[in-house]
Amino acid sequence: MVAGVLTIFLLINANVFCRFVLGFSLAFVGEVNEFSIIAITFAGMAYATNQARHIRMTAIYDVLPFAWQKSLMILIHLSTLFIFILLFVFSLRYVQAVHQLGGIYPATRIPYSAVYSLAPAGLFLCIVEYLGVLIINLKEHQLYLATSITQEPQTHVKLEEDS
Amino acid sequence: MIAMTSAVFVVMIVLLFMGFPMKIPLTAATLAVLLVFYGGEVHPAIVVQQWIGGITPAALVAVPLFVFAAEIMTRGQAADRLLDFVMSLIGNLRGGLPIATAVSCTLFGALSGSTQATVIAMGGPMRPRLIQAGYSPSFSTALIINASDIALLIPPSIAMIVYGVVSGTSIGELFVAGIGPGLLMLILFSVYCLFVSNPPANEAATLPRLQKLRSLRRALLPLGFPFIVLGGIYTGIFSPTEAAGVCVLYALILEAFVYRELKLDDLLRCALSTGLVTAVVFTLVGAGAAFSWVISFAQLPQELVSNLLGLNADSGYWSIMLSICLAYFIGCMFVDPIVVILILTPILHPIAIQAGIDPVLVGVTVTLQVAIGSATPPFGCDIFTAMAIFRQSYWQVIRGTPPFIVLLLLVAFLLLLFPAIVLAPRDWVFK
Repeated sequence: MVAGVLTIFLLINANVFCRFVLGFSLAFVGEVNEFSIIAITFAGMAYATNQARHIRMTAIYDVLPFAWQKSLMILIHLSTLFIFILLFVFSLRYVQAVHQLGGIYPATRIPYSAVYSLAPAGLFLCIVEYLGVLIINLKEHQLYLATSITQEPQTHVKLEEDS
Repeated sequence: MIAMTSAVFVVMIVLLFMGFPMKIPLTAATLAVLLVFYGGEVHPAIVVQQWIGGITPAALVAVPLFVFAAEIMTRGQAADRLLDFVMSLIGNLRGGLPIATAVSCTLFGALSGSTQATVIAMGGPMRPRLIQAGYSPSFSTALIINASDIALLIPPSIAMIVYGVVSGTSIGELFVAGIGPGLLMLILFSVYCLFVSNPPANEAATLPRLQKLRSLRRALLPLGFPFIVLGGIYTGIFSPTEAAGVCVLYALILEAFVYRELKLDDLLRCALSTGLVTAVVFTLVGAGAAFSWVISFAQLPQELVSNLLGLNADSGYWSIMLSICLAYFIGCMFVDPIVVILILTPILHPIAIQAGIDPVLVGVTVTLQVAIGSATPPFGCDIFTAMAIFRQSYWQVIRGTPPFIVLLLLVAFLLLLFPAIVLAPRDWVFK
């Protein structure tokens, strides 16, 4: 992921430099950027799951008692796991179909299917994470948002009194 | 058709309110339509194809780059120097502290293009100062999250990039056109701050002119960012995406070599955090693209727009623009702005264009609504950022927002009434 971000940054600047100073453009920049974006998104999706960095609407969740929160979180993890398994299967099918068509990127001559297979890889890591957190939550008393991250007890109690 | 429409929206809203991660309601609704209503007709692998298609337009490469530049500056000195400069200029006036907060947020928006980065970089240091000066925590938080929304309108802006990609509107033109309404927001916020301000005795003492000059000199290099972005795009030296790349380079040179604050370790940490933010945004972009494809396939948009709203190209300027405002505003109350742009733009943009409304005006209006929505309950990404950074509960964060939302709606109304706020700067630069 770090490599992806740095690659995009370096290539974009190299391309501006080449076009503006040397007078020609680098044809592969667009393609490599596309690989990087796909890599960042799917690797990052797995990392975000691992870090419990989701965009969620927690207005109702926050005011629920702990037992409810915990059951709701188990339900959320279970259904998310189900949807990700579906997505994983579909992405495998998609990569397979692309592979059979056999297209390649014109400048770098890398097959589309090789790059797109990052999608099932990232989704698979998410599945592992969701499965892990689901099992931990069923076993332990504490509420886990991800396998390594627990919810701080009652974060919504007053941290700062409004004047 | 009615069964499908209601199924889609019920699934989305129920899952959303239960606290599911944003991408799940979208994906669940997408899969539900495909599997339940079109089982066998379309292979559901199309969802994955649309995800990948949604995140790979070349212009979107600008998003991680602007985030990266903002990360570097937030970790380095640029943010502090800007803040010191603004404080030395107006910190000692009546209402100076809250106004300085708004101005700093606007300036940082011109550097970074991300509201969340602005909340972090400017809100972090300013909020304690505001509270120390006697402003209530709820006012301070509301001021910071709403002023950070100005970052969406002041170029560079991630929302505008996404809008430009989806609708085919020139991102460069959108950037220039956003400046007017952005400044208008700043002015209205400042006036409001004047009214609610504490007596100046509470605030910083007057600084000698020499010190003001010194803080200007310290902030001079960070102030160069807008010139790179705008100057580079307008002279045609580089595209908006490349401007983003050059911004990263500039930020890197500034922090690592001029201020010598940033170490290699920090740089890698910035890149990691950029990757994470990008992944979270692009996961939504992908899920939104898939959802958008499915509802277009099912022809839900046409159904909604023509039958439910009775909207078409002959509806006239006001009804079209008001419908656009309302649709995006309501959308952003529930879903992430990026998703709203992805879903609603293909539905509403063509009608506005057919009716002869300037695409740039539509784009800026949409961006403004999206900015308002980002800080409007129940769902606003700025609200969540503020909750995380200031360690406040949801209700504490939103308590102070209503006056700001009224001001923002006033800006939206002025924009529709006087489109020149948007179009005059654009025409001046491009025609």
